[in-house]
Amino acid sequence: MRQGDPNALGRLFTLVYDKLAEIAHTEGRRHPGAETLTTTGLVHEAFITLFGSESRDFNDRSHFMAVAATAMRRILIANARRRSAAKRGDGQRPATFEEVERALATEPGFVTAKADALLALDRALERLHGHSERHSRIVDCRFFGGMSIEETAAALGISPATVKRDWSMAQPWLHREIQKDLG
Amino acid sequence: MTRAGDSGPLDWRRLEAVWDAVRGLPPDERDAFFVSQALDGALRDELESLLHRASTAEGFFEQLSAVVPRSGEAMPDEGLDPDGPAGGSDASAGAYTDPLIGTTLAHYEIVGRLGQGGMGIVYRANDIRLRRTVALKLLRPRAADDLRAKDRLLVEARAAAALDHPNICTIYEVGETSERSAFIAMAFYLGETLEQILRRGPLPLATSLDYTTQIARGLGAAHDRGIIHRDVKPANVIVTSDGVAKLLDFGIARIPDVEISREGVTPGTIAYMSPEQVASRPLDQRTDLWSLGVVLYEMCTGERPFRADSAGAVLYAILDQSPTPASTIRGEVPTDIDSIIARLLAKAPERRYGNAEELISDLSGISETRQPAGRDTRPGANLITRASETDQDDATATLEPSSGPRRRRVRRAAWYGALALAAAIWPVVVELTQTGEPRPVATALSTAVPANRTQDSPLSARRLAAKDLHEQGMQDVLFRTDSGRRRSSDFFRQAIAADSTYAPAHASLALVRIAPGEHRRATVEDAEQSARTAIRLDSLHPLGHAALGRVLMFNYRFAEAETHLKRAVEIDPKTPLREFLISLYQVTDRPRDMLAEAKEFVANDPTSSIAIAERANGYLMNGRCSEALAELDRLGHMRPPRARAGNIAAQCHAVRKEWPQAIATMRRVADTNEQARGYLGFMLARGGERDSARAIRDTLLARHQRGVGTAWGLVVVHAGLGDLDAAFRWLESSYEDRSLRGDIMGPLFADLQRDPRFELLRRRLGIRK
Repeated sequence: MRQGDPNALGRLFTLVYDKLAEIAHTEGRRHPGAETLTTTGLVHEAFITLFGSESRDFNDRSHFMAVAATAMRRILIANARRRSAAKRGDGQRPATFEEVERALATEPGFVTAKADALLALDRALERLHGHSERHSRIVDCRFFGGMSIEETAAALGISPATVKRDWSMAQPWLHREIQKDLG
Repeated sequence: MTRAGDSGPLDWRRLEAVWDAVRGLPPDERDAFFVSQALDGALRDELESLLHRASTAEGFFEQLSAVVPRSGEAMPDEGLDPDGPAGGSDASAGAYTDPLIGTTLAHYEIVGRLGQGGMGIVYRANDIRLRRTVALKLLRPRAADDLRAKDRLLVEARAAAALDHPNICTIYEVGETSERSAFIAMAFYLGETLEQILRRGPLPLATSLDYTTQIARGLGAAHDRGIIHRDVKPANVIVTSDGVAKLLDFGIARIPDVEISREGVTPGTIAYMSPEQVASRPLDQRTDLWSLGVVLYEMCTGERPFRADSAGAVLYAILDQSPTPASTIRGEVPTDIDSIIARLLAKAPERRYGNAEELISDLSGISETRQPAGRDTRPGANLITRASETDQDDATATLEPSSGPRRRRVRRAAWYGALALAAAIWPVVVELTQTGEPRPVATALSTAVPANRTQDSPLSARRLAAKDLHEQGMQDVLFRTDSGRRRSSDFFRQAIAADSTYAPAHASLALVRIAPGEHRRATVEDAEQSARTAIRLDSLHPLGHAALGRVLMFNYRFAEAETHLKRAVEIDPKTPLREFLISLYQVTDRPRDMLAEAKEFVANDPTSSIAIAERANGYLMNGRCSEALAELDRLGHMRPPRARAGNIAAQCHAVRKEWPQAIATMRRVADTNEQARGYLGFMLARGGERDSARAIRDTLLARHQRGVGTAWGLVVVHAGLGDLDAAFRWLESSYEDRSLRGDIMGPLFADLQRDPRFELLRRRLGIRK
């Protein structure tokens, strides 16, 4: 999966960074003033995760994309944790699954219930990882990385069919785990 | 409907293997499939559980994924920076009223919100005890919970408070209001951030260099104490109303060995980040120099060197791309500036300047080398152009070439002398100020041979003596007075006596001979003679041609004058003597030629604010007042030529009948010279304050009767009052006393121009319809 073309790295770099930026920017937009991290800070947190280590070979596309997706997950989760913690500080319990479903159906913004769902998802993904690293990485790419089936397949060096199959199985599996978790 | 309570030991591999087959089956065929595959127990429960919720789960994740933005959503670069005081992303700030406003914190009464920085909100507050306005930086409400953020704020304050430097924002006090929150009281400066200034477009080059030098000085002081700013960007520079750049917000400043911003908050705004910041490598002071390079580039071109549609592309460019040279974007940027920028924006820190001092030295080098006059030819010369562009008191602070104290003192003297000379010998068409408002004639005197010719000149003892005497003539600080001018003439004569072949001495003598008080008929003829001698001695020296051109203009022999002035410009296209040609076009009512020449002036000397002011004047003379004002607006950020720029701006407002602005603008510069008062009188008369206008008229009349002052101011004030008879009478006098100005051809004097008597003036000036 190595890309010899130096421009490919530039494009890839841009793609990944911008995805990170989008996330952070959207976060910032959804609840302005509520963040201890600035948007720029969020992006760079992820960015440094990606590029800070010298051992990484950025010409390795699959590695790069996978790391990017995981970094994005980390950002979102960290963000959700802050949000949830802030609420819990007010004496609120994490949302129940039912509340999450209601929030998803009725609340357009990034409400605390969704943060709680993300945290539950993160925990479920840890367990999924215990069963199959490939499944969890596919979820990272598809859900957190916003990557298509083909992008995910290319990033992980597997066939699109495998991505499709694993993704279709991971979703109900995680859904169930989240429901169990939140109660 | 089993909810697999405990997943238990599950054959994941098996589950995976059959999943693909079973998920494609219609629900009523699944049972048969399970039986055929001998799937039972936990595995079958698991499969059923997953199948049951497959579509629900898909919907769930699709909805949940709305919190994860997908590519394709616009990601404006600006939006990435919520830190700027006026950053657009802080829209919520305006939407709610800050509860802190109106409250008192310690001994600070919070009166308003100024902006939002990386780690705190900045308020405008009154110090109740000391009765002064301060900028008060508080932790953001949320961040107040974050002790790390507080510590960081305190480190910032301690770092910056330790710095006492004119180009660094002054910290008054660091305080804690409670265990969890802290504040910093800083000086409140009237002015604009460089970011706000840049929103209006690029800056004049001299201003860009000036600000860069000032910022570099502030950084140098911080670096000397081991403090790196790490967030140098236009939003962090305030330019006070008197043109001093102050570096703000050592918000992420770092004292060596105290690592505070490793995690969480990442320093810098993307566009100004150095490659080592982007890559999260160790930083030293050279990261600030990179950022300053970005700022310099932006000031010169109005664009950022690393710009792209997306933040990622910007970062990639920082790491990997070379910016388009500034001179490509803005033609007038000299390659010297390109080189400095290239050095600042070297990807590898070790290829940049080692410290701010080296940069400052190169910046001042530009100021010097950009002048056509070699320093060795006339020590004062380099400063003259600067002087004419910069208020006297500030010139040395910003643009004085680095040199030893003694030399500096000498040059300063030289420079004042040259200013005085400039003021004194500027008799005819163009503005002459009584107070020494610098005008381009000063630069004319500074113009010397192109550098390559200097070497050719025989540097004999006689020549050196002549040069020295010539310089002394220029340095005479008493030059503004009659006696001073005589002394100066004496020096020029002595220079000629020492080396009669030294052309510049003849040319300077020519110019001094047409100075006020000197220009009796005989001396004017002598002046022409001297200028011709200068040309004869060195026909390739622009000063001789320029001097002759001026003398001929003095005698209203414009056609011949034009030939010589063009020759001077041809010899040295960079010469500030081009100014003469511009004024010639102005007074002979050739506004288009004038504007073209003014544009050429700017193109050849982009750092000259005088050139820019002339271009504005060119627009004015073509009736393009809004363009003129836009031009002057940019000039507003540089100090000089204040009276000139103010006068042009006031005329523009007057043409647009914006009397209050016209009056206010003119008032600000009316003290600079006697003629400016005439203009103020004009504005007042038209703006409805006729009594004030008449008072000015009377003052000018009294002065004229006492034999001081010229007729021009009286032309202007009478024109304003609508007393055309008097205006034409004084116009006659101004033609005689050579105080007539090219403005007469501009839109301000439309009333006069419509009068049949104006045709007489045109004819006398040799202008054909």
